[in-house]
Amino acid sequence: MDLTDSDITDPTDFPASLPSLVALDAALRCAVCKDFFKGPVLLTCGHTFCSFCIREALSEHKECPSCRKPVSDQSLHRNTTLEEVVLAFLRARPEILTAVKPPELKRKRARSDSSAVAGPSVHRQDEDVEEASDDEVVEYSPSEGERQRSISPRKSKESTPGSAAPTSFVSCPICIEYMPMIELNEHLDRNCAAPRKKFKADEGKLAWQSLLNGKGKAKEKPRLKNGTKKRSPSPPPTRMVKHNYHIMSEKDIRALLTDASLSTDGSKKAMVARHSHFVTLFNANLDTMRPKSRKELIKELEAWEAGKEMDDRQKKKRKEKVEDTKQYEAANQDQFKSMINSIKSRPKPSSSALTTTSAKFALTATDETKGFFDSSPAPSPPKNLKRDGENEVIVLCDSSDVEAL
Amino acid sequence: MTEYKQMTANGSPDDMFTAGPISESNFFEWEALIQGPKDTPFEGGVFVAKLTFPSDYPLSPFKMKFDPPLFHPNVYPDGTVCISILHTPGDDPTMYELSSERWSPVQSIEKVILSVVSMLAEPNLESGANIDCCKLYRDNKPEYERIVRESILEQLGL
Repeated sequence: MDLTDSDITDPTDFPASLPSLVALDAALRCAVCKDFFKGPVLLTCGHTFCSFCIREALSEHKECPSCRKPVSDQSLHRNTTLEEVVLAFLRARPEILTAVKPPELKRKRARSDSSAVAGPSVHRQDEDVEEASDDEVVEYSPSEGERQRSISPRKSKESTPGSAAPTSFVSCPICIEYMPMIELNEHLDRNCAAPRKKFKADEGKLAWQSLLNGKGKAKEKPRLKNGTKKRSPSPPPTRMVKHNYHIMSEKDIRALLTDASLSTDGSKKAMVARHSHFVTLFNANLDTMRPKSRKELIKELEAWEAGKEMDDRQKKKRKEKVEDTKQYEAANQDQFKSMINSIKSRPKPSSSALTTTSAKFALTATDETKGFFDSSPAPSPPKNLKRDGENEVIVLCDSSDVEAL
Repeated sequence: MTEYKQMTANGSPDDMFTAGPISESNFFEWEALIQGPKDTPFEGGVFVAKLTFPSDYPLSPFKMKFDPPLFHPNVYPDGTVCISILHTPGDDPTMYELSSERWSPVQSIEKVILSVVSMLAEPNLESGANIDCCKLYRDNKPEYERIVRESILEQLGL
């Protein structure tokens, strides 16, 4: 929830002059959540959605959200290739953006890699592809991953640790290098020399370690190994089963929740909602390349529940307002009075308003009268009354219409 | 939470309309400004609509309410828009809408507002929300158009 505006990406990050890139970006997004595919699954109809999105949608209606063909959640298949494509694109995205966009419009996302343009970009891209499969989290929590990568002395000058503050990038008028606006003066003072490296304490330590270990250039590797180690002990995918909560007693549901080590607070309805949401979360999690731990899932569940509770409370509040009319009236008496007075002091409705109402009335008349209207646009009032006693009210209205005109 | 993304996903609508959250603190209340489509009585008007999102969006559709209310066959007198794309397949106020026209999680704010714009141009009399207006549209279209134009002028303070 702490996403800032600049952390959100969307196809229009790419300039409209390059529709192919906009389309590429859009094609790699889930149609439900409009974000990049997270654990994409393939439906029998050929459409693909995030595992979580489609599972949630199927819990409401058993049909494909795009083409409405019937789908069951047993028939979902992981689409690992697409997931790899998405991850590779996510790594390449900032670079494409930098290459394509004028620097002022760059988003924060692109910033950390902005001056990589000047560097050996081909080499970097190779790295990215290799890393892609191991580095899923990077896109969703970029700060840590990027900071770690910037440990390399060469790169750290480009993304200074404290670079969160500057809002715009400028090109140096002398050497054309891109940098945050606030660094420009310092940079010019140094006659365009590379800035002195600033390290945060822990990063300095890490840099020293890498130097001492003599792994100057290959410091990406230990990280990769770490990544794979983390991934390997993932449990064999055993999906949780959806239960038919309608036929279960409160006790059974409580037992289910205890089995899943979830809280058993609240009403039966709340417990059912909690369990079914957790099943969705859990099963969707199995479709991602790097599944989250159970603890993280439970945290997500709690966040979801808190949000739902707040929503319910707000709804209740709204209802209370309506029920408490007398108190509400008393509290806002002054306002009501001033409103009534303002209406009273308003000039009387104009003739055009009168014609409007009379026209509405005329429409309710029988066909006969309508034909009459058409044939004689300005009939004399007494004649009208004689002709059609049945529709007296309407005809009277018509006469007022004529008078007003 | 998805509205966050939606907001940017709708970052570049054409000139017909704009939409965005009313306040930074509450992303479940949006406001949309819609221009009256050309060659219709609504041409030249600017209409304000309030979009209210449910907590389980996009599983359930949002609600759309014109404020001030709009004189249109498919808009309830209180301003709420009645359009099949904003109804879930489950509930059916008029009992005959095809499920293919209903809300689905793949719809977006942009698509809905676009269909509202086309609804302004071509009212659907079969599922009228404002019956008086429906009758007027069917029986006396010039008068209906005149009223609409008048209300637009009034709204713009002319």
